[in-house]
Amino acid sequence: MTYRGIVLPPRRPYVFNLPAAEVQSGHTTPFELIWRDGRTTEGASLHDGKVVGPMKVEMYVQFRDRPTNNNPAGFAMRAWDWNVYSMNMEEYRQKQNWREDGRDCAEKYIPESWQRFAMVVQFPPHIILTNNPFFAVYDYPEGESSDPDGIRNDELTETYRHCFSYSPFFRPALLLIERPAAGHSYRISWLLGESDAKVASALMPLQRQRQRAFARALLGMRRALEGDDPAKAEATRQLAEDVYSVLASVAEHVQKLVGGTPLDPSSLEISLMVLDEEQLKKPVTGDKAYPCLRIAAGTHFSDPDYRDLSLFVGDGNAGRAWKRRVARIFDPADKNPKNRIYVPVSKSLSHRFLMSLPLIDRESDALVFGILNIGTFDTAQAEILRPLAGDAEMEKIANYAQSYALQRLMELFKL
Amino acid sequence: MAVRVSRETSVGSATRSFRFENVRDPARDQRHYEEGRASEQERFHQGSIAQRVFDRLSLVKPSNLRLAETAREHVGAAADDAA
Repeated sequence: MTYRGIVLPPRRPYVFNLPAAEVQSGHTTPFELIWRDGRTTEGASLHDGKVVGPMKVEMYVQFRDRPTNNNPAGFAMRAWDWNVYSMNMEEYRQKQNWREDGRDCAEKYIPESWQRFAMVVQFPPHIILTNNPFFAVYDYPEGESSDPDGIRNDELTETYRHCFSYSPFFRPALLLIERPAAGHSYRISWLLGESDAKVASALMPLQRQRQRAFARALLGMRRALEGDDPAKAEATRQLAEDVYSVLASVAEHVQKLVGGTPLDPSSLEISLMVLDEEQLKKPVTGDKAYPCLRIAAGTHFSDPDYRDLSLFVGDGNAGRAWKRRVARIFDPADKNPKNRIYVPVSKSLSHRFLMSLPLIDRESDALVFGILNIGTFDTAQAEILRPLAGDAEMEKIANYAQSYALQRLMELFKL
Repeated sequence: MAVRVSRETSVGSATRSFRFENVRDPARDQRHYEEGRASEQERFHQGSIAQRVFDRLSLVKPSNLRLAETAREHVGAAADDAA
């Protein structure tokens, strides 16, 4: 988005407030200024506003020199929203607001008069659709929070139908409208189908039961230790020490993999996350609560934000690793913003390097028991850990996580 | 479970995620398992990374957390005294 012709009153600081960026699901990222081709006035800088969280970001631009009529300022900026789309019904059912008919959509509200509006949805090859995507215009006379589905505007939908196209071969859905009517929402929808692929097959009830038992046991252990009942805590102590031993051994293995370079435990983060289906979490935009990933054991429980961290399936590095059943690397040094899908623990606690490894059942690729996170909050230590993101190293650490960590944890919980 | 991982690729650049594929390699499984179990036994070497990570993981109880904070305060006070 580009802003031009900014003029500010003669009062320091020279600040231009940006509208908040907000997502209803998934998470957004802070804005970044675009400097190339002189798009941003020299001396401009971005700053955090009142709200900076995974789902809502408020920022402002400050200018070093006062923008005047004779010398107005301008800037270009961008932000990335990570909306966590599902590839099939199995994934969709784990999301907030999933629908029985499998309908999912991308939508853009047009608030003012625009010369041209283009919206492209590129569907990945592995998405399962039951029919071709379709287009409609929607209105929200009651407000989006009271009527999230909206009311279809058949007249405008018909007017702009010819502006929509979809190619089943290349899978782009394209909407291109000259001078679109303002005050309406333009929506591209699609219907998800059940996947027949092994990797995304629906979990059998028995598998689901084992997954839940694993999560319940680990979260129960944490809650017993944190609780006020000393007898309960004492009864859990031995089991907890065994679990910590597994994670400590992972740390030892990581140190070996980085050539024995001493690691600093104060900024080394090792944690085990599981899906909490008992203490559900409400998204900021709705009243219904959903399962979320929580830390069952971790190295930074002295930090309250770390203790309280929870991620919906698909959010952040660990949530996305869970959803897609892949190992994911978050590295802020990576220049590609698409590789920086991340929700910080708090304003002051943010990973400098993080790998999230799914612990996958040996019988079914569809069954993820937990996420093993290995990372650091320290820039220097990130340099040491970064080689772990190589192909060979990833295979080594992933195998260790599966063959030792998961197997040992299953033994401890007799699953 | 032994796994083979492959870097996911997309048009333009390799993404930083790795897909898992189950492979049967019981020997490697066993080796990793034994290595991990042996490491559990050895972790009590004072000052080892495993021991120090274990200590941090153990700070889960509020009472433990309070103890850790008190210890930090003591260290801070001692440092102030020394200064």
